[in-house]
Amino acid sequence: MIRQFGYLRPDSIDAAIVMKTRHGERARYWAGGTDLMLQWRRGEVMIDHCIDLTHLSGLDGIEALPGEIRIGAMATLDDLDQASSMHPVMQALGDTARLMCTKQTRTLATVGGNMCNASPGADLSPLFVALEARCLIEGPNGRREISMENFLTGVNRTALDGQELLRAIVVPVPQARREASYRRVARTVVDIALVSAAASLTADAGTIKDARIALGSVAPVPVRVTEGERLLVGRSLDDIDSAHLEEVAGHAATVARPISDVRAGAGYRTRMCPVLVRRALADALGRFGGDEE
Amino acid sequence: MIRMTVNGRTFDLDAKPHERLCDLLRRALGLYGVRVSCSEGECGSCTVIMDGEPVTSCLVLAMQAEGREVVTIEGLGSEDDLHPIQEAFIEEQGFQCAFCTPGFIMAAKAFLDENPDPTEAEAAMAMSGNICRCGAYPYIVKSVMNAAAKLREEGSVSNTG
Repeated sequence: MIRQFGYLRPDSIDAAIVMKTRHGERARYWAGGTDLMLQWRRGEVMIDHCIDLTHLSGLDGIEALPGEIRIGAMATLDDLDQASSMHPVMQALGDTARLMCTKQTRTLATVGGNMCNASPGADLSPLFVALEARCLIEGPNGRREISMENFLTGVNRTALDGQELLRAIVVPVPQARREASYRRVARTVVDIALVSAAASLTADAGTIKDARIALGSVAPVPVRVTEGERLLVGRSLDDIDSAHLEEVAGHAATVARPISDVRAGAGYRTRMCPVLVRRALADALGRFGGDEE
Repeated sequence: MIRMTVNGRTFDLDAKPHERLCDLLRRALGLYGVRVSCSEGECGSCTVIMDGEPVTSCLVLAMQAEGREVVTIEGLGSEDDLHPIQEAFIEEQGFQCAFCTPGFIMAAKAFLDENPDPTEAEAAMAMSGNICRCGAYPYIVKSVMNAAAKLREEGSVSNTG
């Protein structure tokens, strides 16, 4: 069966929202299209109109602003990789982007599309949650902002209402130094994560002021390891030893609620959670050992 | 009608709204070196270079490529005048059935433009977006290393070859 759809090319964000409002549910915003193309060809989604965002200006680019970094929703995974050296928080995001799919798909796939597709296995989701990222949303009734934690609501589900469009993802850059890391296990270098963990530590004068740990691929949305985070805040960077990391990481297994599927069993995923949390934390801690800013 | 530059020439093409770039290049321009295999962005056989970056053309709508500069294997060299990467793949026997070869060569082209002096590990990683069902991988990595040496010798790792 040959399926087809109509093609719409808005010349502004407002025009895109008007098109979406007019054509309804079966009109879809088309970003990189790397997920949507496959879902449409497989018949998993019905599309009457493609609203192509490719030629719109103002949605791409990665910008350093005072106190935050703004990642346009149409910035590609490859753009994220190229922006690694911009700031320590971008280092972790770039390292993660580089793990995703293949070079020739990273040049197409967008950061915003990856978040809007809301796959439980999306590599960037737990890291964005650990970095306290916020989503800038544009809709018929204006602009709003919500945390990434609240943006992701379920398997392939987000807090976007019917017409809204994700405009950018904002990653805060705190005054104190922040280092982050993402670790995963995957079958091959080009595979998606079987289970993953992201950690972000913020320290001032050698003391941890804020800690965020998030697990990926073990629930419909990223899961915070709040009990573990609490054990880190107030500690000195120097006196965190392996026994302490072990204790923090141990809490990861209690909050994970993975499924078994063709890629891995729930038991394996659960057992890997503390391992990956420990690796991500050790990695983030190790980065503090580098040059002080 | 959409306008795009393909292998250095500008075309006005009648693309369907839902048509993929790989299908348009094959249908309208007869560029059968764009090999479509998995159609899922997994195998890399349909890799072309768009505005200097490698892309899996099975995941791109033709409409998205409007105004862009596209290079396919046909734009790299000719039978009488092979591109150094093509020569290197022949010398090192970097293929068996060769179905995947155009995709590998285009991925190698984009990679070597960015990194003219790679290590073997970097070359292998750069080829991880392409699948060779014959399993010629060690020879493919050798081909890329050989191509890099040839191109460095030539001293011109320019945009479109």
